[in-house]
Amino acid sequence: MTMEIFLQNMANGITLGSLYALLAIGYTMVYGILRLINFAHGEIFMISTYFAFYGTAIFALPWQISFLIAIVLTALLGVVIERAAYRPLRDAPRISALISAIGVSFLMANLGLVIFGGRPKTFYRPPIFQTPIELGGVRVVALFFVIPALTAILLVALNYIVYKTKTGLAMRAAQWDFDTARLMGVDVDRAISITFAIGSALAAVGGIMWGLRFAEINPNMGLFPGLKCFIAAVFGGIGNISGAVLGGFILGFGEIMLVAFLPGLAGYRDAFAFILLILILLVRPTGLLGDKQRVKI
Amino acid sequence: MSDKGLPALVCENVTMRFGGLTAVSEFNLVVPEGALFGLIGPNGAGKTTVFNIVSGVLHPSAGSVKLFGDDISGFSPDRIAHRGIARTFQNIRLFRNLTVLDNVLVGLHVRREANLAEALLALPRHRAEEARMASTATQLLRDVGLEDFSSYRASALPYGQQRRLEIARALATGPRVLLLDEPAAGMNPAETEDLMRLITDIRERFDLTILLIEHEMKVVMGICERMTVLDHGETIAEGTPAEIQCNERVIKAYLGGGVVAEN
Repeated sequence: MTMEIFLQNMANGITLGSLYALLAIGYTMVYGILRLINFAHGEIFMISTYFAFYGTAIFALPWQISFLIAIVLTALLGVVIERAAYRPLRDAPRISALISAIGVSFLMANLGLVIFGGRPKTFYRPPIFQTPIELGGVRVVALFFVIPALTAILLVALNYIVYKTKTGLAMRAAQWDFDTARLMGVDVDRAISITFAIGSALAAVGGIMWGLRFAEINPNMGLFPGLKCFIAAVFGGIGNISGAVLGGFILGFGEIMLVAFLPGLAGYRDAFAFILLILILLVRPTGLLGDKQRVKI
Repeated sequence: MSDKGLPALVCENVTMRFGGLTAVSEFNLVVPEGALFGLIGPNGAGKTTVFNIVSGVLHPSAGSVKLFGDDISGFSPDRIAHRGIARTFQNIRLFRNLTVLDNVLVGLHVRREANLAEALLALPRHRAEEARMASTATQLLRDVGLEDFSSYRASALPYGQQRRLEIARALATGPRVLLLDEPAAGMNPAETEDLMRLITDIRERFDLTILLIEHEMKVVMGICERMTVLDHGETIAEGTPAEIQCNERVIKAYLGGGVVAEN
């Protein structure tokens, strides 16, 4: 393998890792506050790409505005899903909400097929992201810098919100104990809505960048990234934001490097994530950065 | 204030049924402003249920709760916290994943209006407010003697100090009425003495009305001006400590029927 190809693979790994990280955060944040695996998260990611697609293709909006609107709409979608499908089951056994999540996931994927059509659509890619940049003898397009840079900025912002603001403190308090948080004046429902809004907005950023990277979108595109990022969140320690980021990068990198170094196994690319899941569950069920198991009373 | 003269807290015929079990029946209570009022009774008498109703965790099956004349029955716990009732718990319920300081800050946020957008955009104003809140929180920790532990995780504090932190967190919400659920439970005699001083002290300093559940008779008889005695969900007595100590129904409830029968 030449140096050039290796660096190209590095860039691929970082990019894919960033996208996985953005998506995995949504799983981990929702799990942190509700103890629920939001299986609809992959479909939220899918729909965000269609919001952006229709913004540019049908409404002919400038891409900046279209992308921004797509992010806002996706955040709202996340909030609406929580209200409609999870909040009524807040006091039901946890398995009920999980089943509801799976139902929402199927519903959205199939609605997508009906409304958007099964044929893949070509995502609009603004030329600015395709500007070639030469670095150390390797030519890559600007997108390969934009994705990790934007991810880093969002991670800093997320960290600020969670650890330095009133809202973040309310989220962390609610994460520990709903009832006590309420008694201390925290509006727990609002904290949960904000959690869904943030998680979904990050999924939308991930979705849009996915579209920019792979150019093609379809209604089933949420399934595999969704499952893989769920695995990334579990691998890093579900409930832990840094863990989700770490898991996302390990998964993204691992996948790219597996194909790069062992091209014979390229067909097992998707299996890599599931093998990782089985291994971590056997060796360290709480994930890399997960806390000791604690029971929520 | 316009509502001067109104009792701080009134329970009118409050009844709480869980299926066929009546945990609290026709409970009446009038706590005057500034009082230090006791709520006692044997285990299972319904004392904590009363606290859960007043703080909004439970909604009463019948009856009403009034705070300075305003009916608050049926309000959610966070709204009641905004109205000015704060509480501690029989089994300590701190945010164990947060630091000592953050626990108090959660309470302080009740009295703050800045929202997420402001926090992200209006940086100078937000920062000034953060600084002000941090100093208020530190002051509250000093009031309960925990200022040296502010960066500890709440779960790392010894038991007696966790109880004090719960009180500081409750005070942070800016209450007018404070509900203390067995604050002396599990404390040694020296800690109990300190706690009694702390309770009378914060009542003065924060201009509070305090309703106290306690099994430690030394505490109840020592600092409460009046008290209500519950047994099996029914109010069996009300009065000053001296009156309660020689009330026959109370003695019967605590020691069993036989003792009184022999008299």
